[in-house]
Amino acid sequence: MSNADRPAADLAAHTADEFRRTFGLVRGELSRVIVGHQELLDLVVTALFAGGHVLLEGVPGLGKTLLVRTLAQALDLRFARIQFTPDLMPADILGTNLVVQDDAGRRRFEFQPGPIFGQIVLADEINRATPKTQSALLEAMQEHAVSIAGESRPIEEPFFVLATQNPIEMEGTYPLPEAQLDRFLFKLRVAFPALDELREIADRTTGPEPAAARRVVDGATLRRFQAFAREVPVAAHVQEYAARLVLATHPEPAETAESARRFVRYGASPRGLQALIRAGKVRALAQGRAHVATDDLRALAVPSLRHRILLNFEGEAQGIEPERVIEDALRHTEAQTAPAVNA
Amino acid sequence: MTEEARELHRLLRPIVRRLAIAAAGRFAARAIIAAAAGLLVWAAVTAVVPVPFPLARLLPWIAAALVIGAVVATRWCRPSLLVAARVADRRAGLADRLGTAVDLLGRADRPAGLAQLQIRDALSAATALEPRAVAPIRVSKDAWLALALCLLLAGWVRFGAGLAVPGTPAGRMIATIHREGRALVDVGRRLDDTGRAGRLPEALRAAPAVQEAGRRLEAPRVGWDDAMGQVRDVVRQLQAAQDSVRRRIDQAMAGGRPTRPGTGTPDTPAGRRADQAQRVDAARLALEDLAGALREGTGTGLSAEELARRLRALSDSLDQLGAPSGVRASVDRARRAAENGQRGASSAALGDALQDLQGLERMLGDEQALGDARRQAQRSAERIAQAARGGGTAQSAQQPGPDTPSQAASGSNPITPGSDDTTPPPPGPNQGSLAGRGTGGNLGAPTPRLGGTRTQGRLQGLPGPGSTHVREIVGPGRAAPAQHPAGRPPADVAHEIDHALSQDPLPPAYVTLVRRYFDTLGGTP
Repeated sequence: MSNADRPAADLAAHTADEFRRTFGLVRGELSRVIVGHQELLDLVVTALFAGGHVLLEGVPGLGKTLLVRTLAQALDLRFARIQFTPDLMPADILGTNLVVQDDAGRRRFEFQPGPIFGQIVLADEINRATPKTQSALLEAMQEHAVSIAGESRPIEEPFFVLATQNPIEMEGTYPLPEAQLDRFLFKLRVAFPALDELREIADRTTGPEPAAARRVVDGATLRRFQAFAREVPVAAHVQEYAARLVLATHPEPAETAESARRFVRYGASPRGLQALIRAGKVRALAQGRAHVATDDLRALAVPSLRHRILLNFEGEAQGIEPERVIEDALRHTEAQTAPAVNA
Repeated sequence: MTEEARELHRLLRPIVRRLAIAAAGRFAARAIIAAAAGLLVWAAVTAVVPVPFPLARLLPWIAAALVIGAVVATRWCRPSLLVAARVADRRAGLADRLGTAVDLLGRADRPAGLAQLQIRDALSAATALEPRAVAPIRVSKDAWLALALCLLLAGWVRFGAGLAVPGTPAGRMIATIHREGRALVDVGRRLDDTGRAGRLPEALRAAPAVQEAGRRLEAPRVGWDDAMGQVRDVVRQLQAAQDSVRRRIDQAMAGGRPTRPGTGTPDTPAGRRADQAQRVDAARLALEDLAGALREGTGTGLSAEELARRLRALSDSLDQLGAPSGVRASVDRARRAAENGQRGASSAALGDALQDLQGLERMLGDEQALGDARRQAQRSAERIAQAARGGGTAQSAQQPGPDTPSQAASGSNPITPGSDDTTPPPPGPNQGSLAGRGTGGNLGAPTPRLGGTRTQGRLQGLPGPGSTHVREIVGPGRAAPAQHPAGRPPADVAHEIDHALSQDPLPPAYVTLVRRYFDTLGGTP
């Protein structure tokens, strides 16, 4: 390496160290409050640094809301919570123009921003609202802006939506539309805690002073790290791995995975590929690497792709989980992309 | 190329080389497996189907192909730097460090920031890499399998070569080879006998080789190609010996005057050889006749003039016969000695001439015996080849071997001794002595019968001295319906019968009986 290049590399190394330390701090603050769910916490922080939104799925009472609240405490960001109910209207989320009267008695329209204009938005029990209301989040999540009355209003960065939902089998829920699901970087399943974790939960939450998270990072730093993570290089063969993995979840290609051919109606979208790469970059930095490895993609495949795969009737009838399709696709992709020496 | 790229190349080159060697080894092992498996299948097929298995001839070619293949494979199997880096990543658990670095260094734009950091990281990882651990060169399963197949092949060559399943075409071919082996032993034995009887040196010299080849063919396991090679060797040896004798005969006869045209001898090597034999035979007879006369003349007082006259006549006769010049010179010497009254010298010169002719005759006999043996060995080779082709194997398996030379039928153009196979046989009825060259499936026209008259000879027996007792036993008959209903024979059959009855010398009583029989069938034929 030439001497001229050395400062740039050293600067990158310094920033990467800072990134990893900050990632660890946020992760540590969450762990102080949330018991167990180590992988879940890793993935939530990964999505945060990748600038993606997360859908948390689990039965009530598993600490989903607590997780989001703790995250908001650890970040110096504006927090907003939307409790989704069947009678919630889009305007309740986005905001509306109200007629206000000033001191002079003149009336004028004034935009009253809704909770979506927060920086960390907790969309609690998102699948209890009607699809119409759910769709109100589409533009905000994708464009980080809201169009109201013909006027586009940007949302302050960083913008991070954490939605929770109950399993759709439960009564009084509306499954999220595919377009809405596709906006989430990850869909994470919150599992029921184990015995030790339950005891730890009892210790932490029933004592005189419940654990609370400290603020460890502000919005500007988070934005800087999000931009830095995008610079992580990805080799061509790693990109190919990701692309083949996404293709292997589709039923149409000739060389697709067997379970995808049988049980999948629509495979993962290109957003799935983007999610894989973006999250992979953050994971690489968090693990002290300056490049994305196929190991990152393998680790992130299930949370990145599981909500983007639409099963067909046979898959639904046989109770096939998207995770199985993804595992199969991973094996298939592994075989296709393994480096081979002739003979 | 940047400094980092050069450094990474340097660090990865041993891995590339080792991966190439390992891949070439796998390739070679698979090639050997394929070749050995193919040869084993081939060998197994030879136990059922009579196909040659020329392993000894194939092995050098296979070895050469493997060497060339290995060289090509080493080039072809050489992985790219990226592939080597990715393999090293996987085997050393480097999480795509090296692969990414190679990819970044290969890009047109100069890596900056994190890319530089990544390359630095990859270089430090590559420095700590141990090529032997990452790309070990070990004996693969394929190599063991190749070795096992080679051992199996060697075992087959040692213990299984020449095995044939009885009842299969290969079994029949082996039977043919054994039979031809016996025939060759007989040919060799006859050659030896002939050589001893006629004091034929070349025949005596060649006979053991023929017998030995025959014995080898009689071995329990003998391959088709081996058998063909043995027989062809014998044919070659016999041919060489025959050619040598022939050259010596030609030298001896070089001064002889060729037979005058119009004598009916074909202008072919065989015809010329027959002509030579005739000339030598005639000259020897004349010489023996005169030598006898000289001996009688010595005893009875044959005059010198008479002796000289007869020697002159003999010289003229030898000249006309085209006898060898050496013989004629000896006879001339004898004549001059006789004219000078030197009977002893004349007799000695005649003895020389006779000795020369006898030597020449022995050479001709040698050549004929060698030619006969060679032809029979050639026929054996043809039979073995025919059995291998599967054509007429069943038939040839039942035919006896060529124990005796083919007998020519009596005719005006007999087969001349020493005739070459390339020479077509002379025309004439029943003169064919060589295998036909036709390819059609139909038989040719029947050979016309010879015009000879048939004489019937019978031995009349004499009645014995004792009495004869004749007893007639008549069994009880039983009336039963005919198995086939009687009917009038067709017109053409009736005509044929009538014609046959009128042609053959049958007793009239029988004719009447036959006519009556056909009458009972429904009408007069």
